[in-house]
Amino acid sequence: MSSSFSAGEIVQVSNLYPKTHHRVPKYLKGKIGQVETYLGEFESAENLSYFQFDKDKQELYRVRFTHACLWGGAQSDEVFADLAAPWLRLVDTKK
Amino acid sequence: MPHDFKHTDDATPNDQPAHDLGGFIEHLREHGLSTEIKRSEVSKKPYEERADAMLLLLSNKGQGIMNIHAMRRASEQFSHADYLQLSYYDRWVKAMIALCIEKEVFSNLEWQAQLDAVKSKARDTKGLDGIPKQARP
Repeated sequence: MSSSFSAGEIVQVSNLYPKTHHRVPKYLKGKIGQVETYLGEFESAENLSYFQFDKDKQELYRVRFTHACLWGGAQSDEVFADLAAPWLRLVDTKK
Repeated sequence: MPHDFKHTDDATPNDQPAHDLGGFIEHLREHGLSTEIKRSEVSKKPYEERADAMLLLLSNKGQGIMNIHAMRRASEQFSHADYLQLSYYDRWVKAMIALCIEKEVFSNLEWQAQLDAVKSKARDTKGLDGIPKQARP
């Protein structure tokens, strides 16, 4: 099966606040980044934390965010985060 | 007792669960956390090795009564004071206790009773710091 996103594509992180354990920090929620690499399929840490061992694996992507996009300012630092596909949606850049 | 964090977009640092405070520098400073990276080696205490061994045994290669992801989930329920001020392994131990209670290895009542018994025994024989009474100056 081909992966949902490709390197270079622009994605937005869901701005969701589930009370359950999840692996997306607040400072990335709702933010827009660029897919750096597809890392493969992995068991979901979110499911494993509830001892759910029979769930499907999830695609994991390394996404690049700029410091300016996350916190403003003129610094050129970047943040790389490994995020599961259900947390990402493609941003249509052709509009 | 789990804390009732708000889990919303506009949550202030105090409404946020303790593990998700990235960027709230002032709040972390208020809890005594330094933004400096300490580069000195931290000495190892015997109970820390035991805590590590206990987690490995209880995890049993991901098929046991806990795993590292559940450990994270358990520690996310801690108060800010506990999460930010307990030492790394104290946090592990606290999370392991919470998961043992969740998985009904022992009940909270049994845990409290055992804690009281150990404390009282330690008071009778030696201090809680492990130094025998007769060895004290």
